[in-house]
Amino acid sequence: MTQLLRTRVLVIGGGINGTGALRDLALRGVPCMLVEKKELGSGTTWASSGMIHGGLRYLQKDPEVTRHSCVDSGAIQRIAPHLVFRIPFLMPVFPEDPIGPEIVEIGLEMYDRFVPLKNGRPHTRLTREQALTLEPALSPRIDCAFTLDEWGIDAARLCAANALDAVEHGASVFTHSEAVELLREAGGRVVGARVRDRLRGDETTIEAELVLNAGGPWGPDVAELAGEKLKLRPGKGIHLVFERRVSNLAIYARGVDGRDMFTFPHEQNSMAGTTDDDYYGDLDKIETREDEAAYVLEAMERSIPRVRDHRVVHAIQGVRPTLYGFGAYEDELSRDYRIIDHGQEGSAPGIWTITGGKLAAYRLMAEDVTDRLCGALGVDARCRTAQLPLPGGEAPLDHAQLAKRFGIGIAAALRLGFRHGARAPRVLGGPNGQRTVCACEPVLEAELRHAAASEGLRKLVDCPLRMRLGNGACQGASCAAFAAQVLADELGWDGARAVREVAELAAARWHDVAPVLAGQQVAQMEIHRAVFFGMIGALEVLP
Amino acid sequence: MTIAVVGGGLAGAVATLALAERGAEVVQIAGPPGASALAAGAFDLAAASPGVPWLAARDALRGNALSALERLALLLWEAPSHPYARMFGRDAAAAASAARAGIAALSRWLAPHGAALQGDFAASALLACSPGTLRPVDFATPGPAGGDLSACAEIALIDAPGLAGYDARFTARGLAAELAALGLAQKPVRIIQNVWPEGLLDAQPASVAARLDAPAAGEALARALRGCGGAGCVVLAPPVLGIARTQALVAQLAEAAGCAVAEVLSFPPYALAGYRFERALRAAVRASGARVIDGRVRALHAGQHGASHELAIETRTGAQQLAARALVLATGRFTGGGLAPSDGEVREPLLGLPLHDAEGRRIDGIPAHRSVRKGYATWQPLYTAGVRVDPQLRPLAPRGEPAAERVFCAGELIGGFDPARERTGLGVALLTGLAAAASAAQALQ
Repeated sequence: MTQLLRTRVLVIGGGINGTGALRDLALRGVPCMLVEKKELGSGTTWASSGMIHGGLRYLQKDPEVTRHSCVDSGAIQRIAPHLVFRIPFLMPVFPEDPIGPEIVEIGLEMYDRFVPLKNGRPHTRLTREQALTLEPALSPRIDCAFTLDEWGIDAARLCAANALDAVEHGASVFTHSEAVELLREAGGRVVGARVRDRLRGDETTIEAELVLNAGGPWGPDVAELAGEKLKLRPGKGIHLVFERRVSNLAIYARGVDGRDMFTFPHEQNSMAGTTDDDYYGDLDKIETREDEAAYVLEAMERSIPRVRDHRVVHAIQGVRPTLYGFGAYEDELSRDYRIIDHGQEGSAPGIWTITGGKLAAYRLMAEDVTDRLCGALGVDARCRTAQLPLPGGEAPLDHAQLAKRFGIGIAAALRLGFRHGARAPRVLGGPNGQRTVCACEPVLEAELRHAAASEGLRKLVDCPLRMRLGNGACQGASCAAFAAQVLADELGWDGARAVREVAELAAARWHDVAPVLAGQQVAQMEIHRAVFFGMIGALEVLP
Repeated sequence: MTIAVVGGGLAGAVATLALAERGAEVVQIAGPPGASALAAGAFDLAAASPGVPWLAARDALRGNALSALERLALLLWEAPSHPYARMFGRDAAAAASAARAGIAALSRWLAPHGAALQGDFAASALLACSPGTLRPVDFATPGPAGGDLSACAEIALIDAPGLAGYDARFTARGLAAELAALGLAQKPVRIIQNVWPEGLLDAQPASVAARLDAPAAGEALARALRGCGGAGCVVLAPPVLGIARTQALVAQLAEAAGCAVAEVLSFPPYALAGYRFERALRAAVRASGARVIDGRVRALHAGQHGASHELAIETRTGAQQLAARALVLATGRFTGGGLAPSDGEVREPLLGLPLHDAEGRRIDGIPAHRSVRKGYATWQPLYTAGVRVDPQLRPLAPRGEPAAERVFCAGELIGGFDPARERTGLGVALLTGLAAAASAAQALQ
């Protein structure tokens, strides 16, 4: 049974580039659809540092990337103020560092020129004593330290917000739906795709005037469907996620090879990373390796000597769709992006690719590619994504008032407000909505119901991305069954499906925990196993 | 001639009680709660086990059930690294008689505290879990024990709107699917609404349970349930039926309802069964006359050539020294603190005992992440690891000779099995606790 749908632009890939372009198209009144083979933002976007930072490290070689990032960071703060949080950075300078404080400061003075674009404060120089007072966890071996300003964001939620806004402006989004074949006209023109729903198993044909390949690292696979070759230099990056905040400021650290990394507070946790290594493996089976984790911790230990006392709960791993370049180390590759019209540059008219780039400049990239697609479609409409707020960004939210009005805790109000902004009161509605499902985050039942009923959430295993459920120390042991109850009710799952969803979540969390299992998390996962094996009688449903 | 028992879970409590009953001078260093306190309320001696590959995990549910003693016997043949096989070899009769004696002793100790286990060596009970799954169980604590669904004619679930971790409709849906998936007879499942007396129910299971300890609250709930059952019906309740007087409350509710009443099995953080179980064990130990030190052993020097063991104990009120002629180590695994990752490597912190996984590989001195594998449901060396023991439960050194004099191990500290997958953690704790006590007493004769 094949359903037929028609649209003008079909976007393949639901990461930040795909959802960003979809929103831009929809706001310009272009009928459009998006297919994503897993969950929105579940690939590269989820594995990013979750920062719309200016890219200090690109200043030297790619100043345009830095400028783009800073300009767009300012725009993102305007349209989604609720999703963004300030992360002050501390950059320690050690006696043995090859670049002394004076040179570092010259770089920061240059960066200061870009910083106002993203509402950051200029750098300050701190003495050793000042830095240690500000951040006692810092190594006492430092000479001095600098501060600078960056911004964090919930990247997966940013994807969901873009998709949501697009849908509200007429677009359609299909998650867990994979483009398995591109439709070709006799002349070779790409005119849509055959899409398979990976959960239901049925297929839909989507006819479109243009197809946009926003597959990120999977982009070459999508291009291949059109017989096109797309060469990237995929770069794997991992982050370690700590149980709680290790420090209040983000702290720069340097790897044994001299690479810059950092430990930074992010939402309820701290993260440390990231690595950048050429990746040739299976994109659907990316795993953190022991040596990657050791490399990151070794770097962090130099800046924060007691970092190993903190509990690493899990790792996050992903692959960047870095533009191809020969003969350069990973870090030296350009972070710029490219838009390819495969009709011009290859022999598959009707399909375009956007790839490369930085999360911080996603909106500018979307604007650029949408300008080009609109040109090809003959649509004359201006980009409005920098002016119109994303869902929730319409007005500031009074968290205390929200907590009082709905009788919820202030922590829950803050976290709900963080993801839903001005729309938080809309989320809290139905009966029992105030029950806490996940205590680590915390997540309320109402948010889970809202995501299933109104935001297209289809699987329990996607909840860690959508609302950070199951991301805390217990890794879903406390909340998975409860959350499955709520989703079963909303989505009409039968008991067997609900149990399968619980088992899948348990297995997905293990995948991210096992490679970095150490310390107290070993006991935590012992309890995790007792809970899941205890509640799921049927071992055979466990993946 | 003091015998020190280190550990406050089931294995430690059982060893202490057995030694006290023999008239030994026993001191239990109880410490903080361990894995027993997190139990769901089921007590399996030898569950259908991944150690027995050809015995599907759910055969017991499909009707071709083996009794607990038959499964115990199978395990002795199929899982030579299992603590049962270490103790009994392939002597199924010895294992069976130890199991019978163990359950009898535990019931004797727990009965005065309203926590006696209920169950049957001949047949498993089919109990409902909160997500609506079914689980074959050998024995169970008083809360869930009456909930055997294998022969019931009808299932009625008590609705509890707003209670965290429980949703009667969800459990009902799950049960229907489980019965169908297992090819068992469908039974009518209904929801009983509006039973909670004013002011009793809120979101927190523990606070609801505490309120139900008041006799008036229990009576009010019993009144609301009057006549709600019927012949062959099982009424399933959320896991909140009291803390201190669950057994009495369940009996009271069953009498009112006119049929069996039981809690669904539930899991941390919504489970109280393990907490109640440990509470009753501690009461039993206090009643036995054994001395209990609420503290942690910080350092342990094992005596050689007949010398006493020296224990440095840290309590809330300060440090203590204790000399003991024999020692039962029932410190658990990672949750209990018997195994601990230190400096990134897994170790047994008190005596530095060598640790082996179920296939006999050493895992101490190796980072934890190197002893785990991809795939959640697959065999995980780390979670089968523990101390290797001889039939007297003496810990073994790498070459197979006893690692210390007059030291005996009990409970999950003993490796060679996976308590989560096999669900036999409590069964092993019981039988090894008793056996370690016997070995310790014998060593001092």
